[in-house]
Amino acid sequence: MTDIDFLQDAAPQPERRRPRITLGTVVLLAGIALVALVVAMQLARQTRGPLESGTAPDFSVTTFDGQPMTLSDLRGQVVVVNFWASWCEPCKEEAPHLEAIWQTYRERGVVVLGIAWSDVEADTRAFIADFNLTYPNAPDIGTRIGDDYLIRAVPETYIIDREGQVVERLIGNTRVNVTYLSGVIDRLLAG
Amino acid sequence: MLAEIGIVFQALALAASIYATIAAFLSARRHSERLLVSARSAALLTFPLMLGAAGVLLMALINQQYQISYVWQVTDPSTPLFYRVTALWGSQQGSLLFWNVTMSGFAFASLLLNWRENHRLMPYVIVFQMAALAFFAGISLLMESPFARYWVTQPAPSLPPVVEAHMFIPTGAEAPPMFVQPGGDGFFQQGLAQTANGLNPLLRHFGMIIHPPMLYLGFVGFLVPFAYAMAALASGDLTTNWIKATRRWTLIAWLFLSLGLILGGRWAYDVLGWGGYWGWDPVENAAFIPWLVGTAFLHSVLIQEKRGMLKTWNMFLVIFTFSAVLFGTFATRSGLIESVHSFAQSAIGMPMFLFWLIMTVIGVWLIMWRRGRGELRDEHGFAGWLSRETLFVLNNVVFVVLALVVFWGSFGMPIFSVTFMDTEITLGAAYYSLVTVPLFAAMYILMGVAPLAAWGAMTMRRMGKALVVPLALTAVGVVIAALLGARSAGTLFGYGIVLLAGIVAVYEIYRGARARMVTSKESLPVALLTIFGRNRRRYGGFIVHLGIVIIGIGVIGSTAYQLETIQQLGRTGEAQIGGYSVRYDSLELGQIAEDGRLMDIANVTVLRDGQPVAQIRPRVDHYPSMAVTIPGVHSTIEGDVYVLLSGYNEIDGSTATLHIYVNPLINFVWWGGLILIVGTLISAWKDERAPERVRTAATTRGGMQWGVPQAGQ
Amino acid sequence: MGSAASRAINCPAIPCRPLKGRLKAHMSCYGASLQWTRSLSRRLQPMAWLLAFLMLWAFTPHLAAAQETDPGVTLDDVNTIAEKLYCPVCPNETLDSCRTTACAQWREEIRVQLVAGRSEEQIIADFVARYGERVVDTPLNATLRGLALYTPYVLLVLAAGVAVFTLARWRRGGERTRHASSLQTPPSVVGTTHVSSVNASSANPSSAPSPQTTLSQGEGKNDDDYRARLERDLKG
Repeated sequence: MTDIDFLQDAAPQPERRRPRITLGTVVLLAGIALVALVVAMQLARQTRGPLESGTAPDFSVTTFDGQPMTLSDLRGQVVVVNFWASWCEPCKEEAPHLEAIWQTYRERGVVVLGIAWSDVEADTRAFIADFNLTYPNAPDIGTRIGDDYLIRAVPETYIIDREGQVVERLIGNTRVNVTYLSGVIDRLLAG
Repeated sequence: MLAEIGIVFQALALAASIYATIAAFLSARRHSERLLVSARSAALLTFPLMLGAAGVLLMALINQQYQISYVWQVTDPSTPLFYRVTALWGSQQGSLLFWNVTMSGFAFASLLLNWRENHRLMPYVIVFQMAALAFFAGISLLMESPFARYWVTQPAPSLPPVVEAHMFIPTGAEAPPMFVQPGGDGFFQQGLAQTANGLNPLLRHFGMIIHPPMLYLGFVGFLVPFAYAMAALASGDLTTNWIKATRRWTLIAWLFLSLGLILGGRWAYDVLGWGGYWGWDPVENAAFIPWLVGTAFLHSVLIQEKRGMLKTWNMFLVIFTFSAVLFGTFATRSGLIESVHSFAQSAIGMPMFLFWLIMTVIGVWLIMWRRGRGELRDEHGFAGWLSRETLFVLNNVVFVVLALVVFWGSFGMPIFSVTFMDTEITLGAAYYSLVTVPLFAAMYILMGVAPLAAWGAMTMRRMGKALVVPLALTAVGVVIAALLGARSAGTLFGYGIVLLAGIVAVYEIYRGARARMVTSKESLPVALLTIFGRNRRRYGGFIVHLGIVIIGIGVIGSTAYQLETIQQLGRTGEAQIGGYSVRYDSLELGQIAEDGRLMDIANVTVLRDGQPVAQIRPRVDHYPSMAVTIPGVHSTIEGDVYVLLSGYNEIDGSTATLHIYVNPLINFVWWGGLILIVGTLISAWKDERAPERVRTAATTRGGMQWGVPQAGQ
Repeated sequence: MGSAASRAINCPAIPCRPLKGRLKAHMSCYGASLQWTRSLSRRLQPMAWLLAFLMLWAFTPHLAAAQETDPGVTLDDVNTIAEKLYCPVCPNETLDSCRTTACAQWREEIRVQLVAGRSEEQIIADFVARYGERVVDTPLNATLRGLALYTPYVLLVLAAGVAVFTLARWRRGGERTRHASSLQTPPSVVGTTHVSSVNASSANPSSAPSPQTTLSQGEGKNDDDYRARLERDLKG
């Protein structure tokens, strides 16, 4: 018998019934489909792009000064939302720039809003005091806002125009400086 | 140049695997001998080609070809040769190539070794093995190329040049400089060799060097039984041929997977610095799930071999073992789940997901199709309520539910929660100890009882009789444990069931040897050798059980009785824990290791009853990208004193914060692992000297095997 | 997969990375220039390098920070709670073993709350309220907790149900088989059927075979098997 002879032999055919779809098949395939669907949803979630344009997700916070603030109430103003934390080194570099922007533009319809992400309140407050930050800052309770903005790390900064649309998403602090920010803000205020 | 050769090797391997898949499929449809031989040649060729590609990458790593971005990522000029070699699997692209090598290697070996005995299955075996290989080869070649090189391009005259990794040379591109003299002006301030990353510091450990290859071998090894099972379903040869052909392959894959898991645990214990060896991290779990399903399969396949039962179920188990391998690979390589172990998220998520889904659905569909045609009918239909079959079914329930529970904890529930309830959650040790402990307890009870049960049916009274001796010995063991200090009912119960399982394993070996001594008048060592030689799988299996028992003793001891304290100590300050004193002596700051890293080392003395018993040096290694805490460990048979340097005065070392663990019996985990490996080797070893008659006698001992038509008869 | 395995592998000393899975696992901290991107251009600028290095340097000292002890509250008390909470930055790493600044701050917060007299439950609940369910090792939310912890038992019951169903069918099948086999096989063989295999696990190599009695397969096959068995019986 050569290696291949068997191919010519028809396999002994057992007595066959017509294939039928059993309950077990249905349940199994449905189960696999369900798992696959949920996994696919998660995969899509994980790979979806960052929030670079479109309507900024709304949120309400209470600042460390006790002021309630809601993003949608700020329509008509340009809003700079900055996610940060006191344990984040790059945040320390950009804080003075944000403060300068706030000082320059606060009278001209621009709001800088700091969102402290996963940070201990005492440390946040110490940070605010150390850097003499006067722009409103609020904790991200339950990290809900960070989730909505799909932030990947801190610092991240979002510039939102008067209509509540995200205009720019700045990751890291490389562009969070007075020159760059005022360029964008001037354009938005002019337009 | 080197990179091009590597790419050509990979491309040829991909082409060969695709050709082999198609040719083998056609050969099965057309019954063409010529095509099948040609498919086999192509399939065999993939292994040398993949080896060639890996060899090229290895050369690039050794010769410091930093233009290849993979080399740049995982090595730097100070990396010693040894780590240059192991950097081959140090990151995503290289490890995928390594995965391809092992996959083609398994295909190669199984095609060579099983060719003659399993002709009928071969066309479809090639189809499934090569389809899987083609998929991974394609991913490696097209999406995660280890041979992509850096090129400098000028997008526009006004813009600065861009350096990017490309597989093919972009038009007008130049190679970035390898080395730039300091102070040079121009675009490049530093060359590639000066910026190269170096191997992740955490991977510079013996356990980490061999743990990934072992895991890959384990994962990929399950391709062989999977392909044979699929071939059996596709070809209609649904006898136990595929099981016989793959029995040893399954054991080998299981061996490597076990080894990978154990080494991973050892590495975690030695390097990661959190006092434990198993963290229930999603990636660890992704490797554990196939192990659980594979273990279920190793047991239930016995029922099919001996009784011709559970045919459908075994198909499910073998297909889901490989499905779990694919899912785990997908989940950890795609960034589906955030884990410290996971690779960088990349675009391969979707293709890997689809491949997993397609393979699983094809498998399930084939099973249901054959079953619907009545071709997977069990040959025996009987088993009493108390019988070995019943206990094996319960064993399967335990392992499969464990696998499902681990899946639920690491993937199911977190994904469900974030998708439908918009909440990210973590399920940690608290979840796993609540839900897996009862299942592990059931596993040990079954391990203790099942080997005593008979096939077919058995009365309660007989079972009771068989259990008398082991139970009595167990009771003695439990009393000893209680005298040694085990107090809580839970741990005594735990030790009881674990001991029972161990005693039964030893008792069964002893009974086998004694029967042999009586019938053949052999001495005990000869009798032992004979029974192990005659039925390697059975007695090797008992050794594996023994290994699991010893691991169990270690796990119970080191979790239930772990002691832990954190203390800030001044010089010569002592911390008391579990009968030990741990004294902080001094700190050596800024020691420079041979590879250039900085080490801060504490000198710590472990004392018992006022007498120093060990000097240990817990330390913190500073790498440019991270700090790694390496424990100082005083290891004895009773357990380890495990000390981490978790803080210190950086200026003068006047104080140090020591995180001290006492992990009783933890070394049993490693010893048990060794025994498990020995047992698996015994089981998997080829029965070269057992003649056919003996083997028949051995397999028919329980009175079975009749319903199985023999191949080729 | 397990390869790059490590409990802290992607979690370098720079702690600006949130738990999100979507991000590149080795990206750690924006602005630190440490992430490996396909574009080298930024990396090749020495300033960025220097900056990264300086910042790393700035991080390590935090090892010793925030470790002063309060007479009433020991590090062990803090640790007991820290073991149950997860680091905000490094995935699946508990607070007690994580070395990032963020975790050091969180541990300090635990200590402060302990000093203020709060209980373990209160502290954990407070952390969950502030930072979300992801920071605790099993969710506190009743629905999530129930779903997480009861599903395994539901699975167990289902699997056990399927097993019992299978066994019951085997037993029924056995009755049928026994009946059918008594019609087909010589009585002497039937007599040894199931009872004789009782002692199979002892090292008795000559247990009697059980009969080939599959009803679903053709008669001819049964005959073949029977002949094969006879042949083997004669040989053995």
